[in-house]
Amino acid sequence: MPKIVLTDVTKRWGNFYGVDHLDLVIDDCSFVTLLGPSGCGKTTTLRMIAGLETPTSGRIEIGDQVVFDSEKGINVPANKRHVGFLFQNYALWPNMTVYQNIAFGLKNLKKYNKQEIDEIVKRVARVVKIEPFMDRYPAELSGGQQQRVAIARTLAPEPQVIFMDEPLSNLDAKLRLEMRAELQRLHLTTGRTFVYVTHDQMEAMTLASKICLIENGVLQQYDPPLTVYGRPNNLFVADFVGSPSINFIEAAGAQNAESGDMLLTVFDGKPASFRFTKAVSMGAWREEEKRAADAVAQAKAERAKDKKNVEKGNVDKVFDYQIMRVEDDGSVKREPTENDYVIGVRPEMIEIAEEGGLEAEVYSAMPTGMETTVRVRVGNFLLTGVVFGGVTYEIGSKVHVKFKKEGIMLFSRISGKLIGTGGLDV
Amino acid sequence: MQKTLSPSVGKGTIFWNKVKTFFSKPQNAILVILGLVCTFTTFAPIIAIIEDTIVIHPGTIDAVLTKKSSGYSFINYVNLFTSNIAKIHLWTPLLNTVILAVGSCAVSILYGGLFAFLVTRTNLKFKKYLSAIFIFPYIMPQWTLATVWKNLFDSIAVTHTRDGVLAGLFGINMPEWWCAGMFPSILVLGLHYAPFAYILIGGIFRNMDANLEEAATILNTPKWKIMTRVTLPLIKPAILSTILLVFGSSMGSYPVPHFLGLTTLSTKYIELNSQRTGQASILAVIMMLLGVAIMYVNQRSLKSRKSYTTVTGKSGQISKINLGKAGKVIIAVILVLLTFFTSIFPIISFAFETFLPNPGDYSFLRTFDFNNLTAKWWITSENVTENGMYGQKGILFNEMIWKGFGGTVLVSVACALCAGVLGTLIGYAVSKKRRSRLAGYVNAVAFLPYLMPSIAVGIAFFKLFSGTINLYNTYWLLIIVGTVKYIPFASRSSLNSMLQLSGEIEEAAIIQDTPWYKRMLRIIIPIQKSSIVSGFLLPFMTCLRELSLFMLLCGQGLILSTQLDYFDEMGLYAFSSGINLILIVTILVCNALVNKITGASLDKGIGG
Repeated sequence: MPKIVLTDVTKRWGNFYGVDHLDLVIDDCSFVTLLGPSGCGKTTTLRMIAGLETPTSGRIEIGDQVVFDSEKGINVPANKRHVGFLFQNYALWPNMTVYQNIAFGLKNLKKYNKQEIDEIVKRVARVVKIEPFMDRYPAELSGGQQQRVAIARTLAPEPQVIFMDEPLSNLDAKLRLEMRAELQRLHLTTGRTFVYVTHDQMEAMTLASKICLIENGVLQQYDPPLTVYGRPNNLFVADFVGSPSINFIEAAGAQNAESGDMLLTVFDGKPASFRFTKAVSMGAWREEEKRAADAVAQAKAERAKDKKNVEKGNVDKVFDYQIMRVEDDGSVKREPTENDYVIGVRPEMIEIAEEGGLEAEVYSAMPTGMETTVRVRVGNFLLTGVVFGGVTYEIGSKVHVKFKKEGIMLFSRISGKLIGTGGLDV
Repeated sequence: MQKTLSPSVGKGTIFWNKVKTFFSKPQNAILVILGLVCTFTTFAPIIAIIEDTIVIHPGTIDAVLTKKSSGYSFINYVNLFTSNIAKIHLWTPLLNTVILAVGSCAVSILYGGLFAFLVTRTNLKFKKYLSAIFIFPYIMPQWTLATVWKNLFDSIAVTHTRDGVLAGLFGINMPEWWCAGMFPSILVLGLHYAPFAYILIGGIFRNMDANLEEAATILNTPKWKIMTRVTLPLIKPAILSTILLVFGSSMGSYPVPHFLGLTTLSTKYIELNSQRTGQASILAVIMMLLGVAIMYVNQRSLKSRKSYTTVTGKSGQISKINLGKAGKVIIAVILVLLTFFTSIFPIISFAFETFLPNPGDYSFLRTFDFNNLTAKWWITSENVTENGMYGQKGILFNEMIWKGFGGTVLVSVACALCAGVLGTLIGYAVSKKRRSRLAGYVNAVAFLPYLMPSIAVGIAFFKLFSGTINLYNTYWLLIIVGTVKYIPFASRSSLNSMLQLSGEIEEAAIIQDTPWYKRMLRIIIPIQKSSIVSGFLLPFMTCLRELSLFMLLCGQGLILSTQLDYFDEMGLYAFSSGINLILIVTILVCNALVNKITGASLDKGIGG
């Protein structure tokens, strides 16, 4: 059964690294989404696995077959990898009818006779509900129908793995939701491995059994969606996933040696304390982080010895998070020290309650009926919260804000990495 | 790099694996094979001709001067550049060639560009008719207009040949500069290539985003300023490509200056070839250098402008300039008259010439007495020594002409097939490997013959295949040369269209393990049908009427265009006009047929 293993896969053009030493294991029957902003290398990764793009170096296995190995000079062409690929623009052949489009690939398999092909085509057409259009040409179909034909064509040869490259991005919002649900059903009914590329974090969250978040060619996090959401590895992941976006609060302070709480100052001088849900010793954490950073640096130095190595032109940077302010006060982020932190607060972690310790003013409120997105102002800072139910707030009214006792994230400002989660008291 | 190589995997295996992977992609195999072939077909003739400039030819001037009968010497260069013949054999023809090329560029760009502007940007009348008829001069053989010019203006008094229509009918003798030499040559070549300018510039005018001009209008820019500051810079790439095409082609044109009595490098080459073979080859080398130079200049000027070579917009509402109620009709009528003379009149004129009892006998036009016309040039099948037939049977029964016609069709079809297939493959492979150096090289090398003057290419192949492998006067040679020369037509049109085709279309088939030939035949070719057909059509049409390229490679009987030249030399104008007519009708019929069947037409796909 096919399990896809990528080992140290790199793709670069000149000194631009599209994919930078990526290690990834995709389990059989899983639904993995490759997520990231545009140009981060997710499509390149997918195309390399499918064989449409040749990696610069590394090793790719599908099942027990090595399909690419730069050191052994192995490169199995795409047509021999027996995978399915669903293209962003569908890539339907405009000169063939829907039926011919689906049947075309089957004829190459040679193992089917005409009648069997006919049966398969009809079966997959039924799955995606396009039976009435079999004699039409792609140009005579709507976007959603073309999409279904493309899916049918991909499913017809029964590939073990199906790759999808932003398959829903050309559809309108309503259709996208519909197709999303259908894809999920499809994954369940076909039992194939799905690898799915998207830049839409909602799509990734809702569909995937595991999200692989990539930025600047580097793997940021590879975990189930809720872990990615609740325990993001770093500031970038925290910011990229979630809508409305996470709130970042800059903080400075140190760990209380006895209680293990972090005693911090936030919002230009307000005292606060952060209690880890699972105790973290800052000293140990720093050591651990240093060891990891050293290992990375050492690997890099090792690679630099190789003559063929090319310095990465698109340099990796610590994510430049944005602090929401009412007015830009022109303050420049100062160089972070060891005692600088960033607190990440998901909108639903903010509660508006009488007993809240933080005084705030409602800046804007946007009720949708199911929930209300409310933005409050604390001094010059803005916080976004989500309150469930049809609550309305008067803009400008004074409220009190408090934070939940768990699920709040604490990041190091130097490296942008997650230290732990816990509760915040202001 | 990790050192995980297991000992069983040797370096050789790795290399072999890599080679296998490389060639498992058909585009790589195509590039390597065609790269080698094109390198040979492009550079071998060039080297042959350069060698010819320094080799000593027995019985020619270099043998006399060096008193040797073999070996190498630079005497040809010395003699050609420094002796007292330098002026008439080198400098005058060179100057004439440059003036002719520059003049033709100017005429074609002004006429074609103005026409393109009128058709695309104004509310001119009869656009459809004008647009179709304007292409005719390019479809017709190059010398058509030259012979029409002669038929009109020649006179015994001035050009000492025979009386043309004007002289014979009205007794009007035009001055010599008007009848022959530089002026008519420039005009004729300019008119011949004006369709290039029309197609290229018109294409940009059509696709240009009208918003660009509208934005300037909103800012209250005067119309003339919009023209000079916005519109003209935008069409500059088209003008540059036109210059590239026209300059190269007109420089190497043989028939036009030959018919109109102008001495250029190409006519000089023919003149010198037998007595001063090595020196003639130097002239050919100079022509090639000029061709390469113009390409270089063109690429330099295009490079910095690349950013707007493909200006296309969505705004379909191009604001049309109002020519006024009378203006749109009057200008249209003027253009109808002009195009009548360049496009329709030649056909009538040729037809008429074939019915004259004797060359220059226009008495019919004075008397309208049908006894003053004759069909003997067409239908005489016996008594060829009487009736003033000069020993030739009438065109309809003349075996030589029909054999030539068959030869022309054979060569054209073969060239079209070879050039079309190879060009399509090159276009395909280059578009697949856009970024690779190999692809860039193959593309450039395949395109190079197009920029070299036809006559120089012909000369080069003549040198290459007249030695140990003697193919002179065979259809093989013509087909090889035609293919090499016309591959660019096909590779350009296929490359341009392949670049429009999303790679995913083919990848979708690769993923399903569709073999390459099937991908080409079932997917790519059907989708790009029309431009691939143009890639076959252009070589075919151009080949039908090619003279400059083939004239040195065969005797006069092999194909129609060389026969035409022969009959013209002999003064049998009825025959040359008849052949002209046959060629024009063949081309028009083919163009119309292909257009009907496939929707492709000659005016698509022109344009380097």
